[in-house]
Amino acid sequence: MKQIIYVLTLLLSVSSIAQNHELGEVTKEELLEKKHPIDSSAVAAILYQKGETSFEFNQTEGFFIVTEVETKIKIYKKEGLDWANFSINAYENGSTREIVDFSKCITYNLEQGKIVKTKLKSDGEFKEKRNKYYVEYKIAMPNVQEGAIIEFKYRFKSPFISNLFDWEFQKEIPVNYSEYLTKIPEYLVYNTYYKGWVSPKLETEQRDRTFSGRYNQMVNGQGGFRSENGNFSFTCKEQFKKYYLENVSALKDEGYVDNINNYRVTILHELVSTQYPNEMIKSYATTWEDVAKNIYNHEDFGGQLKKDEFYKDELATLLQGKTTKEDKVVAIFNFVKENMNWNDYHSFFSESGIKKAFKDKKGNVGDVNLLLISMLKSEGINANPVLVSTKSNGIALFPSRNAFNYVICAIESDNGDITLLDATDKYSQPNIIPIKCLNWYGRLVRDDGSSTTINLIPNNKSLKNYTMMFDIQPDGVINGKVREQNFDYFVYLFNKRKGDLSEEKMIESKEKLTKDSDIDNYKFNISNDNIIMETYDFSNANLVEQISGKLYFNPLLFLKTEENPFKQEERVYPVDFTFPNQYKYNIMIKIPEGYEVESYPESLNLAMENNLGSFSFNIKVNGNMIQIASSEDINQAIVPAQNYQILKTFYGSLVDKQNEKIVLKRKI
Amino acid sequence: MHKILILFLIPIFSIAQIFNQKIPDSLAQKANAVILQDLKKIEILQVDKMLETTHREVMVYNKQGLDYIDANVYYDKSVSIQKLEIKILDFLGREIKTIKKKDMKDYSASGSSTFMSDNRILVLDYTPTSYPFTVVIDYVKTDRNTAFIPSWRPIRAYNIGIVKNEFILENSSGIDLNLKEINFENYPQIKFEKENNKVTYSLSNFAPLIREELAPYFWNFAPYVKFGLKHFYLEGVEGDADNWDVFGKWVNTKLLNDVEDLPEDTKLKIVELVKETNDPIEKAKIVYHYMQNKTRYISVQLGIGGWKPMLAEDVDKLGYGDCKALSNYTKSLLEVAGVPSYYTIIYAGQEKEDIEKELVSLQGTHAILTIPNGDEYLFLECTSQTDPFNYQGKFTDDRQALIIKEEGAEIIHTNSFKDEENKQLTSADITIDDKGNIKVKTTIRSFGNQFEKYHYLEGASRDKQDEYYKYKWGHINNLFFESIKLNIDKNKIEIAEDVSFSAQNYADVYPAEIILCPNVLNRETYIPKRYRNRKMPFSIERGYYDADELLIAIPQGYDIESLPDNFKETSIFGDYEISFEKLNEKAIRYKRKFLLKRGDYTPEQYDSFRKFLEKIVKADNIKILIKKK
Repeated sequence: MKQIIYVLTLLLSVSSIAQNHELGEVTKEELLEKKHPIDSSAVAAILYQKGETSFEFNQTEGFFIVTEVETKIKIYKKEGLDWANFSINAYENGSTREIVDFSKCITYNLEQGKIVKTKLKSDGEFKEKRNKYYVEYKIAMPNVQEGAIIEFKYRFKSPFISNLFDWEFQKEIPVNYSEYLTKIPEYLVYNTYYKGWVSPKLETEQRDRTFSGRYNQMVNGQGGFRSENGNFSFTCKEQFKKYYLENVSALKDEGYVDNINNYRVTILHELVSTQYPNEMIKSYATTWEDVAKNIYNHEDFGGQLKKDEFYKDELATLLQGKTTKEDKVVAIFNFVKENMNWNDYHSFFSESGIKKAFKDKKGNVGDVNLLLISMLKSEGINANPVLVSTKSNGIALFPSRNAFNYVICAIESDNGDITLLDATDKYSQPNIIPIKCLNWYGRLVRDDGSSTTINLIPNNKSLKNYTMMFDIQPDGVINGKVREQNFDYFVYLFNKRKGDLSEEKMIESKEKLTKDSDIDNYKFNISNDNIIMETYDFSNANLVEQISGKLYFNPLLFLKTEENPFKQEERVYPVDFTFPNQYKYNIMIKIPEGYEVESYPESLNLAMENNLGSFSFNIKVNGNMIQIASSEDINQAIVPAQNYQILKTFYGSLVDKQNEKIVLKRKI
Repeated sequence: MHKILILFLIPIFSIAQIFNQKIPDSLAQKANAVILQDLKKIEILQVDKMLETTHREVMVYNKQGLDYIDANVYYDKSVSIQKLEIKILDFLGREIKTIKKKDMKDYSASGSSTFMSDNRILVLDYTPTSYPFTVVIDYVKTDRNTAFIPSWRPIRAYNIGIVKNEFILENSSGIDLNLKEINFENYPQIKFEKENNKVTYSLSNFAPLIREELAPYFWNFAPYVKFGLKHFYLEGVEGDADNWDVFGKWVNTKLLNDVEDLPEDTKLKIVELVKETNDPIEKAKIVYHYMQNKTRYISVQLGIGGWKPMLAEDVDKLGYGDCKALSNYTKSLLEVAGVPSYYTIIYAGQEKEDIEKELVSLQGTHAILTIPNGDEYLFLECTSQTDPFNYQGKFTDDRQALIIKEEGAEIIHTNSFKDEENKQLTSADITIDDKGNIKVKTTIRSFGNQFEKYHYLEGASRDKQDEYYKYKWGHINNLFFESIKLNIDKNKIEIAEDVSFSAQNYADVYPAEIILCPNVLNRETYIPKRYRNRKMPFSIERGYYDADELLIAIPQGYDIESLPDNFKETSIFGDYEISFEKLNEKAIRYKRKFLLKRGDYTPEQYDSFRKFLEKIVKADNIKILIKKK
């Protein structure tokens, strides 16, 4: 009994909320409101948004999804007028397509104290074919002025039952109330996942649902086939789940974020299984192991790895004289990297088949990397595919094929070490995979379909080493030499930046980076173990300040960090440094004859809490020589937002230290 | 028809020859791509039939060259593509792939700024396997619209070499054709032939242009030819362009005539709103604000709607429209208020482009509204909900525009701010303590096109404003804002920013002295790149004037011993002046004035401009020293 009362009161309280959330209910007070009560800078706000997803059934299509969404938006400022335009993409594949219908689209304005309604007519509705797969449905709400409230409803019909609506509780403007109701027949089982900083409230209920309609079928009877019509009707249980949230703050955009959508408050659904009356249960991906296995068993994935006849000859030539496993791996990796051309398309599936891709010398990510894996495997190397989600694809909450959009290669050594390879990027190296892949976890799939999670974000610090020697003339001119050594990801970034640039352009960019120094003898070379070393001489007359006969200069010259990169006071999302790194500086300074050091920055050692990183600055003065050894370490690629203040303070001290000057005065 | 196809098929058979000839080094050096052949033939067969035949061979040297293959074919409902074939050849000239029309990707051509249009684009989707490679493009398309005849633009970008470019325009329609050659003076190598109804332009063996910093806008120096027919067809309507008056009448009768009606109650509203004043400009101001509050900009371009404004009545009802619709709507409202105005066609964008006076034809990319006021004109940008009345923004300033009057059309020049009018006046009180920390209270007043910062600041949240100032004063670390107040006066076109902030460790503190840069708020940092042999002229498109006056109070226990010398630099590019003055024992006054003049300059002048800026950058960094007592 107690339970029933509880449920009843819950329902009552919800329905009392619901009363405020009906289309067509607009008050003068709402129209008069000048700014959002909580977020005064909001240009507009979702007053409420309500979605309901249910299933329909007919004889030809079987079950299909119908989602109805009602939205009511308040426009506070002219900058918010864009919210009066709305568009949604509908997918179509041949004759199977999603369809959108708009209704109840009304704008409310307050004119001379009266509420004026303007309805959207057909001239404000548009439909545009964007490309082969997508049709964009759009509306432009009429007569929208500052202060207006608009509301619209649409019905989204979809035959793709594996894709339930992704309901976003959070938008780029505040959301006062958002509710999503799903009504799912017992034949279909979905899992629910949340992302973002808050989970919606939930109420559930079960009801009976009767599906009925007419059918038409051909019956083979006396006198041949004939058409037979009739009615069908069946009843099942339906699960009602209502998710709702009040006062969701606007999604803020910040720098150094991997993918903002990873943090948006959203609810997602995963189809687990279907079991229709008189049919066997059909299960869809449920665990990561199953997802990996399903993908692996696909002809366009695992099926490709077994093809090895077509490259036999090339491989034999390539591997002539190569006996060790290491040599073979390097040869095959470089061969695929250099010969195959990535066509800019992602996907772990092979698009054209690795055989054709090999012949054409190009393909998508699946084509190129599965070819690489196949070639390595054919030489007995323990190479396997790793399913990856790129940064733009975000972080998946539940196992599904869509969680991944990319594949790379992993080689496991006997002692369990893993080497990652990606042959689609000309600048990629073993364990230096493209930056876009440094996201979340990868899933390594072995021949038997078994799979395991692996870390993609590097643990090792990439190193950048500066050695600089310079001397200062009494007139303030500095002449010096620099050697920059780039390791690991710094090599990758160097190559990306260099691209097709000519040497002339390289020197120009170096001039810019060295505060317009004259650059001479610029050279760079790549060593066998993939370290890039740049060397150059520089000369610059503007780095020393002469004031009242003294010379002032920053010992790091143009290598210093000018500004604290973290300018915001607070932060909501983690900071993504992409990879852990270390910068080291070794500097030797010779001061001019007749001068001595009057003052210099003190040595400093700083370490951030939680082992996030450290900074050291050590200086020694020895006659007319000054020697500096300094290093900056960031130990983790991703720093959680709660450590933001630590980071901001750390960089503040670092920048201050690097901006301190050495003062030289004349010897008396 | 057959004849043409044969004519243009010949080059395809001779592709192999091209590869046997070596491309001269002078064309290939620094080239991202080389145009081996670009042959285009336009045939105007009748007023509503234009045939375009293109044969183009592009050798692509690297990734950047991919952008200049130009294998994208635009179409809409008036266009039919008869033939489209693309061949890819490897570096030896061997054919490796053929792509037909059906293999092309078909996309909507509405960009991010267009809400809806019926323009489509066929795009080549090809991944090169090695460089160089060659793309051979052949297409034939027929366009019913003859209002826009493709212009001839032989040089389309930097770093592109040209072996041969030829453009033939054959006009068998019997209709007179106008043409206008632009920027031809620097390109004597362009050949021109005319026989009967046929004109031929060609440019051969042209070495790639290399971009240099501060170069003028590309189309201010690259050659091109624009064409226009005296009698043309546009989306179901025929038009005349014998002279601007005839053309203007056509625009009036066919595009603007039946779109101006307004609902009665709107008319009454306007009459009511403007009844208090007799001044037409005041009336216009009221009407403009009424329009701004009622509408928003949405670009919908369908069929003739690409050129004809939607009904004023519809704009009134829907509350939105594109530039044409909103300009026409405002014009109708102004008419009710008794203020005459002209629908005006213009090229929009920060890069200035003129409506060519000598080429009577449909030109332009944008519509605004012009109000005559004695000898001058006021211009209204009707797509902005926030622009001040009669604000001449960079989007349409300083260029030729076409105004459509009752009795015809006329070319006029839009307004622009003088260098001195683009003004920013900064005053500040600055206190520095013995730790090197500063406290700053500043007021920055901006006018002219320096006023345009309001676009961003007006609607920005406090967080975004914070961010704006942190980047503006990126040279000051550890900034903390105490208050940010904006006062935007759209009547006077003036924005005043009152900002108070503190910053730690601004000055360098030493045992015996403190050193600081007195130019806290406005430092020039840009020094143009050095060229050993500058080839291109350069332009300063818009000038400005900044004046700063800062009062700097020094901490207790310190003395102002000496101050740097005042400094002044005058040149044809502008004037710069700074001064340091000891007000009393505790305070220094720092003044700075900088006028940068707009102008077009020769390559030889580049070096002195560079030196001018170099001196300013250096002077902006001059430090002062205060001594511990």
